[in-house]
Amino acid sequence: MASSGQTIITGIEFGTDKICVIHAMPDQNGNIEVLSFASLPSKNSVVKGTVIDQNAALGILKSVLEESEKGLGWKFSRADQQVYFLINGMHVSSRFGEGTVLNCNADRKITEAHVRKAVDNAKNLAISTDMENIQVYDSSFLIDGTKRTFNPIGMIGEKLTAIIHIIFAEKKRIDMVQAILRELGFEYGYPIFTPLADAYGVLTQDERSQGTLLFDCGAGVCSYVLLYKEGVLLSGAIPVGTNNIANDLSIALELPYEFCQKFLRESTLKRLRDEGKNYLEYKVSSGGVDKIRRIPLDSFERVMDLRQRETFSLLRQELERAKMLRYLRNSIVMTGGGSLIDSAPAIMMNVMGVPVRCGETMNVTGALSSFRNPMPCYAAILGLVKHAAALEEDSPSGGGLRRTVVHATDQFLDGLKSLGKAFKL
Amino acid sequence: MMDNPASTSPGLARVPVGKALAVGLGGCGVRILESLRNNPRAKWLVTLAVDTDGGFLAGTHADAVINASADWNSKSSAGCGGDVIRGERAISHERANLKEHIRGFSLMIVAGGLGGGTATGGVRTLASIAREEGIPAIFLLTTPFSFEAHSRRKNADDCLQEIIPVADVVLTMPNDLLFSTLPPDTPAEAAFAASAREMANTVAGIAAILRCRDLLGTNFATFMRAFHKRKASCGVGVGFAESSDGLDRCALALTRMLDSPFLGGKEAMKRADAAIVTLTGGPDLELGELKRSLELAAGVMPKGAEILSGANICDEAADSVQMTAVIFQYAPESRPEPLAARTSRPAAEPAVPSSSGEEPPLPFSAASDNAEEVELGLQSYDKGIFEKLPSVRFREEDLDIPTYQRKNIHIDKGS
Repeated sequence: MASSGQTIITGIEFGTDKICVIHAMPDQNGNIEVLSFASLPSKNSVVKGTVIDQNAALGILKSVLEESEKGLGWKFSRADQQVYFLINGMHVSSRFGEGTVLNCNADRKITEAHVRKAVDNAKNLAISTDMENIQVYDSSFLIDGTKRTFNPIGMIGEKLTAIIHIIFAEKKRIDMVQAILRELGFEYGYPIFTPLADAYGVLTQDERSQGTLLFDCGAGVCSYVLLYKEGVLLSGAIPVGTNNIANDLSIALELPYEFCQKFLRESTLKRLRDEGKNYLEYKVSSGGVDKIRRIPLDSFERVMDLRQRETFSLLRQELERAKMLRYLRNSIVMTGGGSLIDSAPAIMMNVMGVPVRCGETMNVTGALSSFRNPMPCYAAILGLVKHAAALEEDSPSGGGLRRTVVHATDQFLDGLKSLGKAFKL
Repeated sequence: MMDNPASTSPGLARVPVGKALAVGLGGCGVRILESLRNNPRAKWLVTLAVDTDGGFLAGTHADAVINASADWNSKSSAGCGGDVIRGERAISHERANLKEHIRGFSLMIVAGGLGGGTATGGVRTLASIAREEGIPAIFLLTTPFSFEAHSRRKNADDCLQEIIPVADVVLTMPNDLLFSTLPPDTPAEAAFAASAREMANTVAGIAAILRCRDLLGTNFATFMRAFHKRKASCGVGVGFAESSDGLDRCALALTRMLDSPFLGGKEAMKRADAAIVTLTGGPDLELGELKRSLELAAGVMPKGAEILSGANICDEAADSVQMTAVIFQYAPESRPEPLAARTSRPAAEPAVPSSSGEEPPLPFSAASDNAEEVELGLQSYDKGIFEKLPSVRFREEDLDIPTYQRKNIHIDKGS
């Protein structure tokens, strides 16, 4: 149990399927102990990863928070809490920023100060007024405009260019969440893009170095991040998720949507196939008479396959468009409920041509019995705690990120070191 | 028929790893299998005939037979009447049985004619089983004649659009092309027999390529690499020659290979960017013959073309040689490659030189690329739970509309 001197991180996920709250405590080694966890269905207050009904989301989050705090076993002021929330959806986008610094040192050796200055310059990228920077990660550095490196410190050069990956989101969407958090007594919440949180939790150091794509397949939206040499090369979202698969099945086979959701969640296709069945028997009542409908399992497979293949093909196209496919050298790690669909890894491998695995958050202990679904479903919120812990550790003000409320975003960004450093837990 | 002793799966399950299975799907596929039986170089292939027409299957001599019924309840074996949905349902109904028959093989070659019910409806199930079982699968499918009903051509095109992303390798062979090599006064029955024979030769030839692991290696990975490198048009040629045919049996096999209707002629080989060429012979095959044959074949290819050579010795090919070539003409790199179109597409027209002076397409070319019909936006879509939500478009497409609706694919709802 946490003592009064230890940092407790509150993580919040506004998911299309559920709104979750986690209270967890990180240790010095990057492990996290889950103290309490609670979740409730989001009931259409969140669509495709984005909060659209502020009041409904507030009501649900209030109940979830109370339940999670009850699980903690003691009361504390929310205003003193460090809160991080996952942000996802099509309003989140990313781009590269480029900043240059000249090295006037006599020995022409690049120092940490040069790197920091180049990164700062790269951050000063003009963006639309309705957008807000939420995270910045190192991508790579160019020395004298020609030599690309991922760690320039100690190298010789006259000009250092930092190429950074900036993630930004619609200001009004962030403000909406901040308003919800203020209403519930928190001072400020720090947004983290979902796939980056996932990446913190599930990727090994080798995977982060060798070119790995993290693909979070959620209920409403799929989001991804490509990591190479511990830097972020590409991130984004595709507005489809497992709800689309259930919806396709429901329309194609004239079945209730809820039945199709259950069909997916319980891996019914695999179970029936393992039993040697070729069709699903579905009872329908017509004019008071019960009738059995026999629906070929191949029809289920076909509808699911078409949707999944299309989604993964769109992902491939995004990588090709950004000319990043060549950096996908190691593997793809899938998380989220969509990764649990039996056919998903095989189809992904078929489309992308690299090994695929399902990711679970590493080094997590504590109140794990509160997680009712398989662990890949919680990779994002568990990764959020790990990411937050890394940020807290890296912040110049130690555990005092909360004190940067006045110019929260800018100072938050200042508090971040590069992903490369942050990832080296 | 069902009472064929080999039609029970346990016998086939004992087939050692390294064996290939040739599946004849539908009436055309079963005819090809029958022709394959008469090919001495294909004796090593295990054959499985699958059709919905029990009467048609009665005369087959395949190692195993599956009579799929298009009806869930009555088990009727009267065929599916060219209905793709009934064909799909029939093959889907036999999925567990098919899986038992396919399991344990290291390669599956599926032959069939698209446009009708059984093969058009069933190839996807076979591709799905192959993927599930991890068995490499090659689909050799004929496409309907240009004079046949539009619905048959559309069935074939729709099927190909769907099967290409799912299957490892799909080779389509236009019936028009095959029959264009026969004189017009050829009796129809003989023409169809020749068609089946040529397809059987192609099946045997492809199987031989992948069997070549003895002397010079070409395997399925080589095959896949060549196929998936870039979007390509391809052709297949097979030529046999026996010792009794003359002194230079290898040169004769090469000549016959170049005359193969599915290769597209010597000119097609001269334009190819890459080729897989293999020579299969008996224990009497000499090193000099092997070297000269592969050199002769390479000599036909343009300079700089990538040539993957293979050679194999098998007892069944004693006193004879078989030369097989799969040639690839890659699409220009500047043209963006649609992900769905991996290798082959239905060829709308036979390979004849175009009047504009452009290079004529290879037999299995994407000739239909330039002839796509413009679709009028009159189709209504059902978005289900997303109906009342604001539409989110991604790359100009409303992804909330079910994929199968946007791709215009019919799904069997069952009964």
